[in-house]
Amino acid sequence: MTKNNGNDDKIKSLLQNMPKMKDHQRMEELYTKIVKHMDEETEIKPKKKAYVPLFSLAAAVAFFAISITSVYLNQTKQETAEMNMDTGEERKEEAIYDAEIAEIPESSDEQYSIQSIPENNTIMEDTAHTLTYDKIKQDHTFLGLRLGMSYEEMIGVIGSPLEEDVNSNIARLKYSLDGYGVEATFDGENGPIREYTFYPQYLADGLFKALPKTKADAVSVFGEHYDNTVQTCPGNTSCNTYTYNIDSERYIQVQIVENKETVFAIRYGLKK
Amino acid sequence: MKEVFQDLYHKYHHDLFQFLFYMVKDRTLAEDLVQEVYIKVLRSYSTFKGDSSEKTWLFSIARHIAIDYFRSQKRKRKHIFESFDWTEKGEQIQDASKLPEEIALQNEEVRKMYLCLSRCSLDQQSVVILRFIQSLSIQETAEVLEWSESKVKTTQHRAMKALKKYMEAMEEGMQRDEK
Repeated sequence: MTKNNGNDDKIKSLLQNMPKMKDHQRMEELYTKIVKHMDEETEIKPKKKAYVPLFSLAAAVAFFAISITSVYLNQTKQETAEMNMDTGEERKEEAIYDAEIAEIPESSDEQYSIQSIPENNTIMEDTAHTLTYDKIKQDHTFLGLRLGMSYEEMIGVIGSPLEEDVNSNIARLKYSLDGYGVEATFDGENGPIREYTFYPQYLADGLFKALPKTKADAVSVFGEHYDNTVQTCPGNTSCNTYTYNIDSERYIQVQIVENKETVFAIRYGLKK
Repeated sequence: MKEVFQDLYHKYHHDLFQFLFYMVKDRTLAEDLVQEVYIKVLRSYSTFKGDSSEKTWLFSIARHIAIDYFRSQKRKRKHIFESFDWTEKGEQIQDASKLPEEIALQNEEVRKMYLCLSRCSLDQQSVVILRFIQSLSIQETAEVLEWSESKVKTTQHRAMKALKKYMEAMEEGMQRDEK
């Protein structure tokens, strides 16, 4: 024991004696750079994420612009000579398209958080209504998620989170600012995903609507067959943990807060 | 905005830069990332609620920025079919020529510790850097990492164990080389 403590102390003092690192940038210089960055880019991350909704918005606007002009042009076509029309049509389309595009960045930047989520959810909802035990068993997917997916593939299915905390073993994703709703555990450092955990209280919308929130919901989705063990959930409440053995490789666990009968967590993973 | 920046700079710049440097172990990169920290901080300063201290709030933002950076690297590496691996990185860093000047000038023990630190997991590194290099308390570290104090303690314990193991392994390796 004493040897261990001695070693700890040695390591601590080594760490405490690590050289102090100083930034060579001067304060004024740094401030100028920061202001320049802030002016240049509205913000690095949202810009990236806003790209998809922005693109689809632009595509939708372009589609409307084209259909409206073509309807309008069809009406006028009879009145005008055909040769002139063809060139006129192109020009009008371009003009309307450009005008609409120019307006987009302002609005989409502000509405980014509101817009992008419903966007993703429309894709999500296709799989949302079909969370059933049989589907998980046969299709090997849970809300469209497979075990063995990469982090990027998972994001492709459930959409970008509002916040994420990713390290080499686990990724935690927020879809509500109240708390982390999804956790993905990697198989080994940075390996494929071996387990998903969903916290329904932080997952209200879209794809996640299909997640059971009460004990009754859980039973209707996963059925009555379960092994029950009592575990401690955070906040010192006791939780009933129902384990479903899907097949020789996979399992589902549902943790239900004992006195409230609400679902605390749902886990879908590979057996060890 | 400039007053806010100057105030934060005077109070915390040295600590923030040092923290980022030890997280990413690259001076130029730390210089870039520290700018991002201020950008994020200045943008959200008005929403800072004071639930935590200003200092832990800043560290927490800095840590997120460092993690975002690692993640972007990880994605890039994946594209070229290389997996991101701490041990691998540790090995690369062992090349003494890559040591930052300040570290290279230190005695052998400190140099070894620097290399061993980079072999720890990101969580372990965060705790060790905050606790011992930045001298934050357990409570402050917990605030920065948004963890419970007990998680900080266990991670710290594991980190110390890991560091000890790596230090021993490195010593053995060196003795073998000498023979």
